[in-house]
Amino acid sequence: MDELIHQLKIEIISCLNLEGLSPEEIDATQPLFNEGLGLDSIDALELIVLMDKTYGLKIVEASKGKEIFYSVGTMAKYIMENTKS
Amino acid sequence: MDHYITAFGRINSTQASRNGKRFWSNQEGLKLADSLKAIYKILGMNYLKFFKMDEMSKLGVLGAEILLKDLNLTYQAHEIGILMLTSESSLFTDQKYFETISDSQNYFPSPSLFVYTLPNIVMGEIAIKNNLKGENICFVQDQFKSHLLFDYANYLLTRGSQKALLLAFIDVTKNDYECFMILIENNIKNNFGSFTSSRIEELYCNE
Repeated sequence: MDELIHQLKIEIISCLNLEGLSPEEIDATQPLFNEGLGLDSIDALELIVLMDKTYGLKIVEASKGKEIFYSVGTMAKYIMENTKS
Repeated sequence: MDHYITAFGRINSTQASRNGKRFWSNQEGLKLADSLKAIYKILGMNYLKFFKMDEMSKLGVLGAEILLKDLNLTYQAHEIGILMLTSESSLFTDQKYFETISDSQNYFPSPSLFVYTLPNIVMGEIAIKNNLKGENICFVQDQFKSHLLFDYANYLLTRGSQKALLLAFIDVTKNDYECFMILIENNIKNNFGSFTSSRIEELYCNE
């Protein structure tokens, strides 16, 4: 899980062009949107693409997005629960 | 009412300058993305949204920063407009976006690229960064046309809806890039010539 979280942080930084931010500076439990990393709606769409492209997970139910993309930790949990080992 | 060119700036693959004075030279032969980052740092900007923009918007935002950075303009937000000219439009980003949808086996349209597949987005980014709420218009022409910029700017200024205008020519291609900007105001102090088509042409070609 820790390895996945670290990998996710690297992917998010790269995919969202979070200049100057290192994986260590992202708390896995901190909110990605609003007060946390301050991501916006376009970033949310990029995260959906990231989940599909990298992990083969399509987020089809918009209502689940808020929960899945709450933090890096919740994203990692969703990946763990929905991908075959 | 007479109007004057009160600031001008340029960024291209070899240099960045303000009012004819070079403040950055591309001595290391940096490519576009790294050049823009280097100029961002030199200007002392702290605007993280910059890194999420496409190259054309970055170029425009840097060009506006060069002009407006040290000016304490006292106009109201709606009194400053933007006129932009481009010959390449957003083609550079359009192609990048196309790469994300061209392979049916690897079809992942990029939302963050898609939002920049219009040239007038540059003006939006400049307006947001500098709180400019005046009129704006983007012309796509085959080349730099000083008379077009002058005619439309003159129309806005004489009509009185705008007190100051940012005029920009911005182009990005795979191998080259250019941003030329001038600020027009009714301010005779520290000006760089009367606002005429020939003066715009002169600054564009010679400075």
